[in-house]
Order: sequence, then C-alpha cells, then structure tokens
Amino acid sequence: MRLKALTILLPLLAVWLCGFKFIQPPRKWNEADMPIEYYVGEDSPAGMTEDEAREILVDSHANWANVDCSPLRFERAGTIPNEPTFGRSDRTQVTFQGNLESGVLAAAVTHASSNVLEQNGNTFFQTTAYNIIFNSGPAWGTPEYIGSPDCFGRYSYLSTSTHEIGHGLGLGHSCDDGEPCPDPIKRNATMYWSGQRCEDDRDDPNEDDAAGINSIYGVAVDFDVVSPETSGTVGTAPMTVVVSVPDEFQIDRFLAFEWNFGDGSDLVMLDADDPALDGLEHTYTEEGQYTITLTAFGDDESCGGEFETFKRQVGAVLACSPPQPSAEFVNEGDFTVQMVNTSPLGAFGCTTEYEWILDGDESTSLSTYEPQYVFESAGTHTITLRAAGPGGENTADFEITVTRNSDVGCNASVTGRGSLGLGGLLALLGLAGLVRRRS
Amino acid sequence: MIRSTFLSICFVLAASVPALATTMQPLELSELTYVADLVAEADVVANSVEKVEGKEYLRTATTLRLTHVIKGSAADGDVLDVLALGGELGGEVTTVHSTPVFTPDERVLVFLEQRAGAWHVVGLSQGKITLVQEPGTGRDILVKVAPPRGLQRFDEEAVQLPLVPEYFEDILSLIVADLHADFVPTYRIIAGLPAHKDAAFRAAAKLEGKFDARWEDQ
Ligand SMILES: [Zn+2]
Repeated sequence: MRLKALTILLPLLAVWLCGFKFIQPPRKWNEADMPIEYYVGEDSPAGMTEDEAREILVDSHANWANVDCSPLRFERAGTIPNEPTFGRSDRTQVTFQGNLESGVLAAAVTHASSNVLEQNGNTFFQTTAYNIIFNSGPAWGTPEYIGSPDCFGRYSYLSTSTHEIGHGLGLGHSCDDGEPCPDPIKRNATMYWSGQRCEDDRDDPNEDDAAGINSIYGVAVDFDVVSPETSGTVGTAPMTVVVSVPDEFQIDRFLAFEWNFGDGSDLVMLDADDPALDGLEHTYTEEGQYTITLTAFGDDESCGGEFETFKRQVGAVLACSPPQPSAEFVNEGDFTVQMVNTSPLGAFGCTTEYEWILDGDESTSLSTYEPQYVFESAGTHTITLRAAGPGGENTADFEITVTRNSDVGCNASVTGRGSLGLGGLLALLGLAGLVRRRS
Repeated sequence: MIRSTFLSICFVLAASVPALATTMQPLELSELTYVADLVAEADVVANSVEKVEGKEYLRTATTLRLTHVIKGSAADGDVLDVLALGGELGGEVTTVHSTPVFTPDERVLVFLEQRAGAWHVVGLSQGKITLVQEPGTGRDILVKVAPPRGLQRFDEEAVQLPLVPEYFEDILSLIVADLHADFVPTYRIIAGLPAHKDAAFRAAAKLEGKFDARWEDQ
C-alpha cells in the first residue's frame, strides 16, 4: 500500500461552517493594546538553542507586524518557567515540550473577553492573550538549516511559529484537513493546516495571509460578483458576470482598483471615481472555475504611504459545459454486471450528479457512482447513464449483454463500451432474462 | 452579506471564548494504524462537556460504542469515552480548530491513542472519519465533515456525498492487510508520540531496514 494518503473530499456542508478564515468565533486584539507583550518558556524546541528560538520568535512576530497597513506591534516581555499550558488567559506566552496528541506539531489557544470590536464591517471579540505550545517530539530548524540541502527531518520553526501567532491574532486556516484546496495561494499560505519537513515555503506570510490579517486589522477591500442570468455565480459557459465594489469600500484612501478575472484576459484598471466600479460585465467563454482578484491601490499615512490591498474570491465563478457521460461494464458471472463509470470528471466539478436507468424505466433510477446489476438470467439490456451539472445534462445509452459466465476465465466475453448518444455496445454470450436490483 | 449572518450566529453562542488551533503533521493511513492503540468502527452515543478544573476552557468527553474493533484489545460492543479539547456549555464556548467533533448517532472510523489513561484521537481530526451509507448500495462511504458543536443528532441524509466515493471497505482492507503483515511504516519522528512508542517504532523500523540513521541526530 503505502503512501496512499487519506484524501477524502469534504462534503459541502456550507450551513455547518460558521464563517471562514477567522478563528471562530472571530476575535482580534484591540489596537490600544499594542505592543502585544509575550513571554517565552525557559527552554528550547528540540534542534535549536534558546537564543535561536527567541530570535526566530521575534522574526515570526515581525512577519505579521510587517504586513502592509498592519497596526500590530510586539514586544518580548521576558522569560518564564517552561510550563506548557493553554490556561493563561492573562498572559501571552510560548512554551515547549508539550504533551499534545500525536500528529500535532504545535497549537495555540487564543483567549478573548466578551468585549466586542468592529473592523471592516465584521464583529470580533477582544483577544486578551494567546498561549502557544510546541509539542514534544519533532526537531526544529532555523531558516538556514531548513533551506540547506542537508536538511533532514526537521520542521521550520519560523513557519510554524508564524502560523501559531497567526492563530493568536485571529486567523484560521487557509484550508483545513480534508478540505479540497485547489488554489496554490491557499495551499502555500502560512496558515495552511499542516507543515512538512524541510519546507520553508511558508516561512513568510503570503498574499492570502496578508489579506487575512488586513481584514482583521488593516485596510480591507471586498467585492460582489453575480451572473444576471442565474443570480448566482454558477452557470453554463459562455457566462457573463457583473462585478462591483460595494460603497463601503469605495473610500477616499483608495485611488484605483484593478480587476483580474482569472481567465487570462487583460487586467482592468479603474480610477476611484469610475462609475464602472458599481457594475462591470465580464464574460467567461470557456468551461472553468475562475478566481477573481480585486486589488485596491491607495495612499495612507497609517500604511506608510502608498499601499495595496486585495480581495481574492477563489473559484468565485463556475462556468460549465454539459457533462459527457461514458461507461464500461464488466460481466462478473452469474448474470451480475458491474458498471464502471468512465465519465471524465473534469477539473471543475461540472458534473454533480449521475443517474443510471435500466431499459428506459425511470423507476429503476440509481444515483450510485458505479452500481452493480444482478439479473435473473442472461439477456440484453439498455443502460442509460445520465450526467448532470451546472452546464446542463447529457445521457448516453449502452447495450449490455448479460451472461452466466464472467469476463475473466476461459469463457470470457468482452468488456462493453458505450459512447455519448450511441447505443452501440457489443457483448457476447447473451441470454434474456428478468431484472432485479441489488441493494 | 451571507458571511455576516454566519458570524452573528456565532456571536449568539459565545460568552467566554477561548479557541485552539494547531499546526498538524499529516499522517499516512499506515502511520495512523501503526500509532493507534485502538482502531474501530463505532457509533457515537453522547457528548458531555466539562470545564477542566482550574482551567479556562472546556473539553468534551464523547462516548463511543465500538461496533467493530479492527485493532486493539477492546471487544465489539465495548463503550469508551474519548477526550478532546473544546465544547459548548451554558453559553461558554471553547472552539478548537482541527479537533474531532462527534455528533450522537454518527458512525465513525476512529484511530485512538491512550494518553495519561484517557482515550484521544490520533492526529485530532485526522483520526476520525465519518461513515455514511450510500443510498442504493448500502455501502459505507468515508467523508470528512465539520458539524457544529451541540448538534443533537447526526443525519446521514444531510451529508452531501462526494461524487466519486471512497469506500470504507477499501480502507478497511488496507488497514487489515497492515495488521496481518505487522506492517511497520518507514520511521520518522511523529510529533507528540509517547516516548515508549517512539522507542518501539525506532526498534521495529531498524529491524526492517526502514530507519534512516540520520534520525539518531534529531
Ligand atoms: Zn493552525
């Protein structure tokens, strides 16, 4: 076996998810509490000296202070006995050699009071402290070690501490365990749910991390996108959408906006007074899932002068062509036929449903991905595979020949194959019979 | 704005609000199997939330009834409690990202480890997988779900199944094959693995030539 990672799709339980990106419920530090004072346990993570660890903790905090427009400031307040705990709501601290579950590199508890703060149209509880624990077990490396060809077995201390501090500041994961994460920017974010050995790609916050921290503390921008035809953002290609910048983000500190529609078309730059900010049409001509990015350029003293911030809606638009169903089947013997779904899935999730219909009788419809039919006797039957999705639906008919003998062994028949709109399946060794469905 | 609606729902729930989040070490299926003291299919019976004495956060004890013990000394039908940080109690909430959340009536495949005399899920969310019966075939499909805390009852029909399912029986056969073969994964340090288990893992991997000597320097 081996190396078969347990990758399982996260079902789309949108109503079960309470927001995204932020730690739930959302919390943030009050800017009046800057600098955030933190204490460090008198110990070091395996593989590093205490001095190296403390220096990297300064850098990992600075990673968040250095994001454009970030008001965050930090100060190391001193050292404390290394007693790993999440129970210090009165003190921000980093400790080592924790006793956390197997497979956990580090964890952060973020304590918040019931005071409420507002920022960029969102409501947050006021954070009072974060407690970070590095688990026992793994060895850690400095950026120099992790980036060297001799690196072996160690994790980036800069990356993991920046990640945990990100939690302490209110950020959740860019993608979580089990969640599909097709966007490389989210996969490579410091706030991705997991870390790998000898990997330094996530040492510094990337644009997704920066947008996240800005949405909590800094200058954020957002936009709306809708297809006039479907009132949503999913439909049939070619598909036209209208993008707009809500009034609350058309503010003085922004001088210009740039649209990137994610389909290779030219970027569209609009001045802050351009009426097209209230509605700009764009047409996606080919099937695809498209990420739209709006970048706002501004000038603000609190951001150190000129700055830019952006909002990226990953996979915001799904334009689909009709699915193309296809199937094969295998005679398994004793009049049992296993359907093999060979429909191209495509990369964009444009097929959302399969249905198998036996001999045109809709009441036999099965929505299983690859059903098995058990017949009472040999014979020829028509199987219809219907595939549907946002781009419409298509059906394909297959004639299958049911046999007593299986396809494997000395009396083998052939594996059937059908194609779209073609009932041309050829199989051997047929005898007619009745049908029952295996449940 | 939809997101604001979700956020306001969150705020109704919360009065005291510690939250925990992690950086995880992704574990292979063979590592989950090897590390776990107990691998089983189980039914979720109930959750009880408690404030950890002297602490400022909640933890949840989930009662599981084992329906099929795959690895470990327990027996089918045994009932045990699994502890995890996080919970919701009387308006207080401790949220824990990446921790497994169980819902009564949920059917699960779990990889459990004993820590300080209590059962925990290996790799937090990595060691808990939900089983949902596929309509039409009765086969169990594996899914990762993120139900809200406090959900009274798990409804399999409410789960949107992946278009291309991954079947429990396929994973089960991999796990069983590992166990029959006494399979030892290639050694690497697993964060948080108790010292005696790490020592046993090293020794077994050395015997099978699956130990890189450079681990000695870590
Ligand atoms: Zn994390």
